[in-house]
Amino acid sequence: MSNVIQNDIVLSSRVRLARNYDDLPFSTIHSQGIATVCVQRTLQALNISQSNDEYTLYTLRDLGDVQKKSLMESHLVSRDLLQHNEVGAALIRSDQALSIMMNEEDHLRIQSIQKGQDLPHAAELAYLVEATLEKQVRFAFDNQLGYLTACPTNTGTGMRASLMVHLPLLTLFKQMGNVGQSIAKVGLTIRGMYGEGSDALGNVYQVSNQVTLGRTENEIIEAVTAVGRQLTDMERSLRQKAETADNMALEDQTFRAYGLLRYARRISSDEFMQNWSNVRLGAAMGKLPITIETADQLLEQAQDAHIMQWAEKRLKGDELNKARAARIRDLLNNE
Amino acid sequence: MLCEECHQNPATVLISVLVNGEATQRHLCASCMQKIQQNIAKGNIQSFLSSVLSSIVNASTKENFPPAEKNLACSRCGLTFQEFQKTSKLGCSQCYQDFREQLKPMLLRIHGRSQHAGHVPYVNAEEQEKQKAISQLRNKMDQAVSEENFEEAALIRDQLKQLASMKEGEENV
Repeated sequence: MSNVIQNDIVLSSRVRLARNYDDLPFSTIHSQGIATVCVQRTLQALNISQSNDEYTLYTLRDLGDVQKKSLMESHLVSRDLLQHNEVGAALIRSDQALSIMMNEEDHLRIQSIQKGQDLPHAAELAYLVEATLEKQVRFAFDNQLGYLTACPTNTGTGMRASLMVHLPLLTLFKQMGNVGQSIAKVGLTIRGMYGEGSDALGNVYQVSNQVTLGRTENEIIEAVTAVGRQLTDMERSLRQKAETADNMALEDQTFRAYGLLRYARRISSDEFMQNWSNVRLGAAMGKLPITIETADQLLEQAQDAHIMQWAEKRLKGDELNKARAARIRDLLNNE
Repeated sequence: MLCEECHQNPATVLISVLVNGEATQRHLCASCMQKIQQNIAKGNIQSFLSSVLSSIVNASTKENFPPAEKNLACSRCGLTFQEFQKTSKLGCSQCYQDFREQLKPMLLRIHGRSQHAGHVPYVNAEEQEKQKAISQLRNKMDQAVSEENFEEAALIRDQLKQLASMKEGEENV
């Protein structure tokens, strides 16, 4: 099996492991005191005092709304962690490839992200952190049920392997309903850009395993990778068909979107996402003078909280849309 | 029977909904039925569907849990099984032991399997290896005794003693 990075369809690969300390009550019922123990114990086991060059500790209640949302937009923390504002914390590695969320639904959510389709590498990184921790601490584990988690849906490996995929043509041809049904049959699921309960903005979806018990980690990774490869084949074949059928229409559509992003003076988040999808399609098909990397950078940088961080002030409505357009122009002009 | 929507008025209407090819029936009162009809007329069928879907989820969860004692609670964190049924979240690792029988069918429904097959903690892996070695040696010793090969049996017994003392020694560290 080749691990070639296929980033024309797959934006990124993510593996997260849910773990709980055996002797502490789960985060669902525990107190501020126990939450602090959980953070301290994790730092100690990883031999990190507070923040160092490699890791930064983010304690949610000390962060502003913009900074918290920006971490979520970068997929470094989950939406659920933000719901645990009083106790939630995250250790994030400087290269942003690893984050350890603490006091979310489970004590620990070790998460590793890689660009393109590379779940095996993402898993390897997550398990390296897990192994370091496991030498120092005892996780809740049962010989029959595996790693025990607050929600029985994660019990077993505690592992969620997911691929973020861009499927504009499958969406256009209304195939996502069928895709969802076939995926469910093999124990996987497909969701929107920010995971459970979120919309597929910009035709970006997350494919991940639903089942965590009774499968090995490799089986899970292979299943998600196989579905990723299948979706890639289907989307590519539709892209080729569109190109053969009416290349002019395809170029017109992607260049118009590119022109709009490049010259707009104000743009809402929704309008950006619609046009971004066409721009990324054009970049991935070699139609536009922009790389896939720039398109992916745009996706992150043009989100609300990132715009406010760039502008260094809180913005809303028209001001936010004007700043978004300026930021997009800036990124595209430097290409 | 009370209305499954408001849980207040007697149910007088029975509706059938087909979801994923499975027919589900709901018993409603006249007033809730009227509200639903108004919602559908307004094109707002989302709220109706979500109430139907939640009833399916609740029904299937209720059906699948084996009867638990009314006051079944976790011996460590005190979470009751009834509380778990409401939130689907367990309170601590002991909950899995104390609710084991009740959780079994649910886990099987979610995952399709009930035996962990993945990564094992370092400590458990070592312990499991040792247990395996001990049981293999015991079998060998029994066989040696049954064959009246007492010399070999004595050797194996010494090996077993050594393994057992290793275990104690480690626990004392």
